Order: sequence, then C-alpha cells, then structure tokens
Amino acid sequence: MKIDPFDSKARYVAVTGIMLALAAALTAFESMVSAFLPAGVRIGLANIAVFAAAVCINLPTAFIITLLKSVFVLMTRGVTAGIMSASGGLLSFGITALLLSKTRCSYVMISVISAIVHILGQLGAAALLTGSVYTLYYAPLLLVTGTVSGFFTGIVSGKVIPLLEKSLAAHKRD
Amino acid sequence: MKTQASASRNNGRKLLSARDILFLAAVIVIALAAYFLMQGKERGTAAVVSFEGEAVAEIPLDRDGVYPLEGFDMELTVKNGEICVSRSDCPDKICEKTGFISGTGQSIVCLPNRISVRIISNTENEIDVVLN
Repeated sequence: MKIDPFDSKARYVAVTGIMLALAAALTAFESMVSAFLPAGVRIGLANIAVFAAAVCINLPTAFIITLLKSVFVLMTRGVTAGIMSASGGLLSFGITALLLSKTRCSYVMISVISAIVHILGQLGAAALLTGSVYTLYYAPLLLVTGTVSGFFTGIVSGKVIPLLEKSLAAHKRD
Repeated sequence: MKTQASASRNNGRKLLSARDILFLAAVIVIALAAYFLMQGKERGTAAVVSFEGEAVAEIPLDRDGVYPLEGFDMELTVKNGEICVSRSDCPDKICEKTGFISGTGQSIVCLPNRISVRIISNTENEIDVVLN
C-alpha cells in the first residue's frame, strides 16, 4: 500500500468496522426497499460503503468488506442470496478497484460501470444456478434500472467520499 | 498544521464528466431497445418449466388453470393465454413479481428453487419435427 492514512491499528479497525456495519445496514435496508421494486431490481446502496472503503481505507480492506457483506447476506437471506451477493459483489469490486487505480474515471462512471458488471455477474451466476440462459431475459430491464441507480449512488459517493477523506485526514494525529 | 487530504487514489477525481452522460445514454438506449425487442410479440402456446436446466413440466396456455408444481412449494397460474408464478415459498419473490408472461422466449426465474419457466410455441416445434 502506497498510502496508509491510519496511524494506528485501533483506528484502522474502528473505521473498517464502521464501514462494514454501514455496508450491512444498507444491505438490510435495501432488502426492505426492494420488496416494493420490480422483480430483481436493487439500488446498490451498500456498494457506496464498499466504494468509500476502497477510496478512504485501501483496496484489500474493501475486498474484505465485500466478502463479509456477502457472508452477512448468506446468514440473513439464505444460500441463493449469498451466492448472488458474492458473484455480483466480487466482480463489481474488481472493476471498481481497476478503475480507481488505473483511470481517472469520474465517481458516477465508476459507480455505473460497477453496477453494470454487478448485474452481469449476477445474471451469470443465476444462469449457472438454474442451468438456463433464459435468466438473461431479465438483463435489459436490470441494465436500465442499474444504470439509473448507479448514477445516483455515484453522485452520493462523489459527494460523501471526499468529505470522509477530509475528515479522516483531519483527525489523524501526527 | 495538519497534513492536507492525502494524495490518494482519488486525487482530482471528478463527480461527473460530459462524456459520462453520453455513455449513460448509450447504455440506456441499447438496454431499452433490447427490452422491447425481447418482448416476444408472438404469443406462445405452452410454458416449459425447468429445474436446473432440465424440463420437468410443460403447461399448455390455452386452458385457464392453477398448476401446483410437484416437489416444490410453488404454484403456476394460467389465465387468458398468459402464465405466472402465483405462489412460491422463496424469500425474494422475484418469480411472483415478474408477473404474467405470454410471448415466446419470455421467462420467469425462481433462483432459490432453481426453477425457470419459459414460453415456447408448439407450432414451431411441429414444423421442426416435420423437417427432421
């Protein structure tokens, strides 16, 4: 890691724990909201927490948060939901990490591409689970809603993450 | 006094740039086009129910009725040539929320039960048989 904004282990653990708690809480909140949305549509709120961790902490930590988020889904919503969470989450983490470290893409761009990859990963996993490629029937609608929700979570990320970064830097003891 | 915001991975990253809008618009237009293309205009004659990719039932769409799915806590309903998953024990209810489908190629998927329902047109199949 090039930059470690954390001057102590305790601080690192605390901030990581907060991010994981945030990811889990947003996941749970989103499950309630998605009951009112069309089939399969999700907003991707929890990905804001992963995105923030990737920027403000570091990529390995964001990866661990992504994994533990899927474990949380596995425990609360069952095996299928856990597999879907992991397949989408890990792929979208991968593309987010790549775009963050290799490009100067905007927040919205990263968020939207990550959402699209998330959806494609999940549809791929769904096709494997059902043994049928017809899960792709859901793709067009999900891509439209995913792009729109990715746009909004990108705006939120772009507004929140710089503030979080600033606050973490300001409270650093040195 | 304190260090400025560290030179992170994030340095100077924009919230949104002009070309993003273009990309977003392109994705939405393509996906919408695909959506309307995939709304099978031709009405199907039957629905094939598959478990993990293997067909387990075929339900004709020309008779209204309620079909419990053997071995699963699921129920399919046919009405006016359309079919839907009317009841399922799965937690996410994506299958129920998909609603009625009737066009050939349209699908309903229930992931927790590994079930997919796909509309087919039997007249096509008959032609295939003749050719074979």
